[in-house]
Amino acid sequence: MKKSTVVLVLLFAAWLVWSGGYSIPGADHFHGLVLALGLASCVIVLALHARMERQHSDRTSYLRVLGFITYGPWLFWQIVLSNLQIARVVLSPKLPIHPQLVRIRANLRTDFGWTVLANSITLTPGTLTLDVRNGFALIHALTDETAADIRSGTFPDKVAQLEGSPRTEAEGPTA
Amino acid sequence: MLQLAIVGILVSMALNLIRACLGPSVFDRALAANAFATVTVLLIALDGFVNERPEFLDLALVYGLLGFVGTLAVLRFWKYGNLASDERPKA
Amino acid sequence: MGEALEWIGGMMAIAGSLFCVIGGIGMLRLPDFFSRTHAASIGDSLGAALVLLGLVVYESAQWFQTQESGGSVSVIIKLLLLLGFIYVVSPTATHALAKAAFAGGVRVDSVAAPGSASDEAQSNLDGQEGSPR
Repeated sequence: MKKSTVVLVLLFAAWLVWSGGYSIPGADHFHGLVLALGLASCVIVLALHARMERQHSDRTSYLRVLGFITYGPWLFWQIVLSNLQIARVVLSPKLPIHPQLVRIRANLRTDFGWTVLANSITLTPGTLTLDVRNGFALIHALTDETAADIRSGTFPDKVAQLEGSPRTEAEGPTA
Repeated sequence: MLQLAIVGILVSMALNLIRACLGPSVFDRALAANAFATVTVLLIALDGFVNERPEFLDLALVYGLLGFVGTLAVLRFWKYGNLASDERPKA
Repeated sequence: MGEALEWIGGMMAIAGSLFCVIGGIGMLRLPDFFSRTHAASIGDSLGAALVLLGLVVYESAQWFQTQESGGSVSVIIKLLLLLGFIYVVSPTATHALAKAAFAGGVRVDSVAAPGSASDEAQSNLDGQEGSPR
């Protein structure tokens, strides 16, 4: 119940930002009606959301999103670095690529953690998540450098921190 | 300034379009179309600023949503042969 | 102050569009599908970030010049939300494409040197059919 209240407030805030319909000049009688319609659409979305939650629920607290305050800038810096790397590869005349598959292990508990891990890896140029199952991620790497970066296991460690899990290294060597 | 950025975006769109035409596989085309959609979102945002009509950002967001749904629809159609059911046709 | 910010924002947008062009060049030059996905993600990640953050800086420059916030705060929020949206959606779409291509039998280009063990990694994951995570 508490969770759906939070979702409703966030949805309505998003609606206020995007619509702008609450400030129609010279149409004050619209004010209440437009706001009510917006609120109604938020409630409809919330009902659909609740239906999805029944199908599949991940009991991750929304407070985990606060971890992005530190994770986000780190990820962005990684993205900048590998962008420069891949841009150099693409522009160099010899095209020094060496595509390969890498399998890494990650000790993550929640679907939220796996989603963040797979999306971060895919968002970083030079690495691409092909498949995730059974505690492993299958990753396509464009060059030897990016493959080495992904093998070093910093990504799963950072995501485990975000998730609040113990570090992966305690489990054994990464594949 | 922003006009120059628009020129760069247009060049990138042209390159993506060439890849979409060359193929060779359906995945290459879908990938090029997806990249094209992302770049178009940027083009719409820039255009809104050049013409001093920032409302275009709303259009950019809708275009981004359409691009995403379109990519998934193409993949689904490729896999199942239709958009409604999960059953592969017994061809 | 305002003009300097405007200049910085414009430069960021131009740099972002250059990264988009590099991504387009990569789309044409790289030899196989999976390599091309990396080129596409250049434009999706740093290209989009630089263009949209450049527009944020550009918009805040307007704010400095006219001294009135007006609609610019909502414009900046929209730009940042658009960036967050692209950052969530574009890897999801790329992953969906790559997974479909992998399952559909597009070959990972096998210039793989001994030691990278592409086939081994592939068969290992396929061998362990379990609950997909």
